[in-house]
Amino acid sequence: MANLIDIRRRIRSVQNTRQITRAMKFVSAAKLKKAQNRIFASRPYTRRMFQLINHLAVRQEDLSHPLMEERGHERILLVLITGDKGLCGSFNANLIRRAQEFMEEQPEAQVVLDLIGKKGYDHFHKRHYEIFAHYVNQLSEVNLQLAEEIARPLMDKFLNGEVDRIFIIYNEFKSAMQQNITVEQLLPIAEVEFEAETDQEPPVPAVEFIYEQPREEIFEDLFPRHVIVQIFHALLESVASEYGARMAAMDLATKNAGEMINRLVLFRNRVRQAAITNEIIEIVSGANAL
Amino acid sequence: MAQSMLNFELMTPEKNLYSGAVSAVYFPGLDGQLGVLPGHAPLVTKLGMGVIRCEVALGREIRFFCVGGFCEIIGSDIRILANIAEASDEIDEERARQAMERAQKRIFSYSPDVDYNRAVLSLQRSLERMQALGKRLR
Repeated sequence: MANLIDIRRRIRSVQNTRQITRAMKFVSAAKLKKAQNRIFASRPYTRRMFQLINHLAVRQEDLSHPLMEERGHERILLVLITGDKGLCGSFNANLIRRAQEFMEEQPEAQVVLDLIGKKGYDHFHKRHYEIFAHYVNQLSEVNLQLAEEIARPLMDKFLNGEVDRIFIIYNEFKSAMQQNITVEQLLPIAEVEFEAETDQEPPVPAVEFIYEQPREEIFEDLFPRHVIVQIFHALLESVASEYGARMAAMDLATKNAGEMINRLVLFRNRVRQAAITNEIIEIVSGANAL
Repeated sequence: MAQSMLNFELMTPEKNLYSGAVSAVYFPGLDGQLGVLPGHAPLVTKLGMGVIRCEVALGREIRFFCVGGFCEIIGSDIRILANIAEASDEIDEERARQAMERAQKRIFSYSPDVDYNRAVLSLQRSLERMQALGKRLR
């Protein structure tokens, strides 16, 4: 028969777990809020940067830059942003699966990985994939410096002609409950990209700009900046999604713990009742025997 | 096309520092100081380091410190995409002063292991920060 003391101990243990998951949920919610605000704060810059490039592209027919050079599909570098920590549901697993699918979609290409986040690195390192660079335990503090640190080697590798294309996989932040795994081409910078956003703004009169510096010099700075900002943005989105996923996972865990406690309490009561009934029967039959 | 105001936006990847109507903007271009009044021709330039001043109302101006980036002027919009920018009330005066003194000491030590260029840059940065604070300098 189940022991009353054991059940009580079990209930207490589940209660403790619930307390921890609940605390983690609140912590994630607070961090999520902060991460979300950072995304919102970075949006105007990203949009204006896009527009600026767009405005320049519209005015120049043969816009070309080493970072825009199309070279085919043979050697691909895949940047994957995962989390550093677990306990966030299927967040990391989904990203890793998407990356693997991506590699299977390009059977003829040679894919090298650039891994940001411990979870992704652990997974692919263990399976002996070819890894170009990895950044572990650095997501707790996302800033432009980190984005630059990640972006520079990528651009160098592209400019050296060591890779033909660079893709990035990360989790786009939609809302706390909903995340979207996104695959984007980072390099070469595609020209079609620039056309996409124009329709929101009234068309700008196509007056030629005055260029304080030669156009080439401006592009020389602008395109790398664009890549850095894109990575920065992806990092912010990914971090926010991770907190969102963790919050959802912890919320579920808290709920499950609650259900478990209810079930255990019922069971405990039944066992106690059974014990009491047993005792009464013993007393009664003892009295009858006299 | 005579407008009386400019739509001024100043932002970094981290945050949006200013967005609103101003009557004039003065900022450091890479090749020298630029002043922008309403009706300016479209222009694109890289940003230098220094103080951005914008006239919010007659005789009232706001200052920012900035390092690097781009500026786009189109129509009545002027947008500054800075790599680093700080509003004057965010600047830590004490820190800027210390940085200034440290840089001066390093430059005038004439020691061979001082990275001279770096020290000068750091001195410039601290001086511009102090300027953004509106401090008079010797």
